[in-house]
Amino acid sequence: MAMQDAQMRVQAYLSLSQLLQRPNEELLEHINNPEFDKLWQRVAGAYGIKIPKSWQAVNIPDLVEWGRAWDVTMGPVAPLAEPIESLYKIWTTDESCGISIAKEKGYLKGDWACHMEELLIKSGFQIPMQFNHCPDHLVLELEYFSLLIEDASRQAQANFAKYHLDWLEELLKTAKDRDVPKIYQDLYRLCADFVKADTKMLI
Amino acid sequence: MSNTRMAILKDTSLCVACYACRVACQNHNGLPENQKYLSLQFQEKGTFPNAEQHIARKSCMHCGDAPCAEICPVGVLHTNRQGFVNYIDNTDENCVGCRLCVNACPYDIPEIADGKMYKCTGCEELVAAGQEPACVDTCIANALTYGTFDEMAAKANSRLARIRTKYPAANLYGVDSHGGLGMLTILRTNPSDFGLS
Amino acid sequence: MALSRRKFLIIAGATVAVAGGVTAGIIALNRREDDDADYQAATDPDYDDLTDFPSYTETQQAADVELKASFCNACSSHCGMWIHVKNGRAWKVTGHENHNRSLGTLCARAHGHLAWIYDPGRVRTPLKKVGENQFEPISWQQAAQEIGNKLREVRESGEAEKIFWGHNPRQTGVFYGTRFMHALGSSTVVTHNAACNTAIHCGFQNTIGRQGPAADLRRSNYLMIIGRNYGEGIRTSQATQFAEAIAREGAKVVCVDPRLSASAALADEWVPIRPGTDMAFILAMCNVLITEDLYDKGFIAEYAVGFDQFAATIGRYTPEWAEDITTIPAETITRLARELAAAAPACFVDPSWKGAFGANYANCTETVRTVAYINALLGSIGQPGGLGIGSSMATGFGNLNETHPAPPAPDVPRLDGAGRGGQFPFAPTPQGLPHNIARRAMEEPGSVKVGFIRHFNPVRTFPDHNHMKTGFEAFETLVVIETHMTETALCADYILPECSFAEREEVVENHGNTIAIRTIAVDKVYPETKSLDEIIPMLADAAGVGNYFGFTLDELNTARLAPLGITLEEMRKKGSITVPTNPNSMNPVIFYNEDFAAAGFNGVARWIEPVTGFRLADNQFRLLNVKQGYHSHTATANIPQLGQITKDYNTQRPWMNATKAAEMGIADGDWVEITSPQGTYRGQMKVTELIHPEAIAFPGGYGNRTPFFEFSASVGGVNPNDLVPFRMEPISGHAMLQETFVTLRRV
Repeated sequence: MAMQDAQMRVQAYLSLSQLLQRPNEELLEHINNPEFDKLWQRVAGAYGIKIPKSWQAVNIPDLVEWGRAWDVTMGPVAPLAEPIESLYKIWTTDESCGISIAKEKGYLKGDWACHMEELLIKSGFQIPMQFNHCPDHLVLELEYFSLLIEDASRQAQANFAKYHLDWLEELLKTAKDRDVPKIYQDLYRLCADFVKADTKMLI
Repeated sequence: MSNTRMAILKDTSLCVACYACRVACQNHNGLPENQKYLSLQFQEKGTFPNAEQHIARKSCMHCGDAPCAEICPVGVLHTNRQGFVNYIDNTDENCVGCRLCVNACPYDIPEIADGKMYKCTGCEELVAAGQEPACVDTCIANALTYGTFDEMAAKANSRLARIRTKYPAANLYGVDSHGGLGMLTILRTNPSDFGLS
Repeated sequence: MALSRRKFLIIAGATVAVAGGVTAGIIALNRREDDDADYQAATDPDYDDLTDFPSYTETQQAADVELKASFCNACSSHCGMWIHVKNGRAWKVTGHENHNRSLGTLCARAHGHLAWIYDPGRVRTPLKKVGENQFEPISWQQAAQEIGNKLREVRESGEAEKIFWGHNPRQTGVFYGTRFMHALGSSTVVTHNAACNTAIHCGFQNTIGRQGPAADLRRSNYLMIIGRNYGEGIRTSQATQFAEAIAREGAKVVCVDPRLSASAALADEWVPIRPGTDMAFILAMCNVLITEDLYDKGFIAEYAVGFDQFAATIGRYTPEWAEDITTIPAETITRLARELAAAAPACFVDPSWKGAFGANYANCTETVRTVAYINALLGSIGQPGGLGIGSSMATGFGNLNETHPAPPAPDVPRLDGAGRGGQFPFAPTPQGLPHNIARRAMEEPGSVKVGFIRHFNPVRTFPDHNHMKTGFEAFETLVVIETHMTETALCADYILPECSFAEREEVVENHGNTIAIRTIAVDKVYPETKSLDEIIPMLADAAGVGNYFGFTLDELNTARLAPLGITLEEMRKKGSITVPTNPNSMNPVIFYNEDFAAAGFNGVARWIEPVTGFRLADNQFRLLNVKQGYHSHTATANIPQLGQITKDYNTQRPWMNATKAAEMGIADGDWVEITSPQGTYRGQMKVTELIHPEAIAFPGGYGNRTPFFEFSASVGGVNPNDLVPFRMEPISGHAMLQETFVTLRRV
């Protein structure tokens, strides 16, 4: 398959990134926008990946219920499956580390988070306060990747996909194991499937 | 650098089983929580109220004749300058996880994870730099000490005199076993109580 | 027009207000379309190079390691340590060589608890309760305003004494918490001690006139240790000194304990005793010392007050009498008393900690008084190798009183009934009685207006979870300052997130001849967490008493260090500094206590039984609440590295005696139903010869009830506090952690 047009790819990554935010009117508008449907139909045509039923405009739950589902999935109080890269990778590859979590998964600010922080800062961004503990949050990674699609070489895109977008299957598995609300399991599956299909040609 | 044979001495008559050694070892060696290079074994003797609790450490004994190194088909194990059995160049890269060492070990020590054998390395990178192994360094009860094999054997023998007043069977295990062990143990009871011969 | 624009990345230097702050969750920035230029990177980065993760990690690995002074937070011993920091992340810990509680080594908990820093289960933002175990994030501003309004309302209605502060008392909390209460007009500060060692403090205060004597482990020739478990109730340097005593030629160590603890297993002699009867054992040894004329008459003549009244009572406490009560043979009691006398004065009967008589039975305060008596008879108090009475800094810390006078201690009754004029006049007032506050809140609606709890979990660590939970939920407002969602935090109306021990600086502390500081080792992981020196002034401001907090922590520490000629910079660099001390002076030893007699208690400590008695019916066992060296109560089983030790060795299991088990048909590893008047729990038993037939020993570190501690839940175990009812010892008011019997049934 040939590389799909960059504009579609950029838009799809940005759309996914938006879908991951806490539900609000603006997000509802995004989903209700006819362009949203068009975009994901194009994606379906290109990659055979469809927007899940639960994320089609007609099926979106009311904001309160939707917000609750987001809270238990990735809210700030005991979330079941936060989309943060560090949580799904060992904490550090540095053999000199003498802390119990060094080779464990499930902790914040691992090597990949530190790398994301460096990437963002050296690319001219600051770390937004709500991402202080997780510069490797999926919304930032998807947005940053969209930037790479526009501005960076294929090699840089391949690097990023290989090193920073390789954990989404684990996220999905965790979400399933921990009974995350279906709407967010579906979203994680969409993220995993889309990223896999889109980056296959890169890596 | 000298090639004087070194040893860790575990004095089980002082061990409070606090597991600081286990945790410091895991941390130094980057082991996940469910893997460890050392564990403790407990043996009750007698009946209440004349009951005793005896302890032994189960970890690589660093045999002088190292059957594991002998049998390794890819030759990745050796006895290092300190007399400890470790991977050559401290790397398990070439280990094929064939389990021959597991079967050859007289103490049933090596385990396999992710296709590689793992066991205590004697903290080669620490001791080569003049420090103590991680377990010894953190021991809060002076139950672990590190020094030359001869120093440790002598230290143990002077300690045994006191321990034997209460535990006549107390002994130093490891001076003569399997070519002499880099892991010497003061036991208050017969080695056979822990399956050691 | 594009469907989406970048909404999360913020250009460096741009000041962008995130709607609702961190607490609102992940919300896209609402920017105007013509800001689009901002979404592009400002520089022209070398993306190929930047995205190369392996080369990044290589650079990181080459970085240097820095050492930051700190002390451990896994228990309240606060052993001095260095946090090694690499690339801004905590990298390992080592013991601080100059700190007298670590002396260069650390226990398992210190190594394990670094996981807390990067734990995604931390409290991240201020939270407000919206339902059972349900909280919603709120801003600091909202939290401070709502709590402040409540405090103003309580103060304006003249009910400030119905506010209290509860914590594990270490310098930072003592300074800020007490000052805050005084500023508000409350006199009530309570601590964990009533479920730990309040009887020790009360008993020694009312005999030797000071709290906290410590056995001189290093120089003693005869160490009689009742209940104290140096190897498992770890203060690192004491565990080391205990092991040194075990190895020392000419020293004898006797451990008196219903259970062969890891410490008793190393002793020269283990004397298993029926639980709750230590006092009878001590009184019988006193009987031997006096009737055989083996006591130190010179010491008694010089220091004792009311010795004759005591001597007149001891006739009945013969070794034979004690044998019936303690199950220790009379000849053993006689022999041990004689051996102690032969070793005097370089000997001691250990003052203990929680152990046997810190807060366990109705007779604990009285037991402690007899520990003072017997050490006086041995002439060991204040002697080398005896019962040490400590030393004090030759030059004390300074303060801010000239520039920032402290609020006066208000002359209002305490909320918990501790201290003079209260329900428990002998309860030590720096410690107080949190379980009694829970009772009051339930029995007298409106009696507790606002409670503050900092890094302290009384709802789980005091007996009777239901009593504590219901009581704490009955406060009009409960504010918990915490790093984790503990059982107590779950009762709170507001949870305020403190940053972890590695992310905050604290008030300079003193332990004996060590002064030490905790410095900031790493940046805050969660930017919305705050340290106590930030939280208290904010709350004080909101409550209208901010004027008492017009200084920074740096100014406070600088003032504290000034008389010692030490700068804050030097303190931070060195971490722990040894300072000159003077030995404390000897006080009289009060055998006959007039205040006790006047209050209707015994002038001379006299044998009393545990409130539950000590003779058991069939299938009844005394519950013991015991320590393990790799856990701190229920705070650490949720640390996977430490909880895994429990899993590997199945050490969550209660111990029971092998002969008893055989009689009941229970085998090692069998599951049983464990029942007390408080309820029935299922537990898997360890069957062993190492415990008295009448006791079942429950490790106290398990059985978390907070659903937020997932690893701990997988460890299992029964918490002894679930089997023990709410009670208060009549003299000092402590919580009597072991006043219950349990029965077993095979399942």
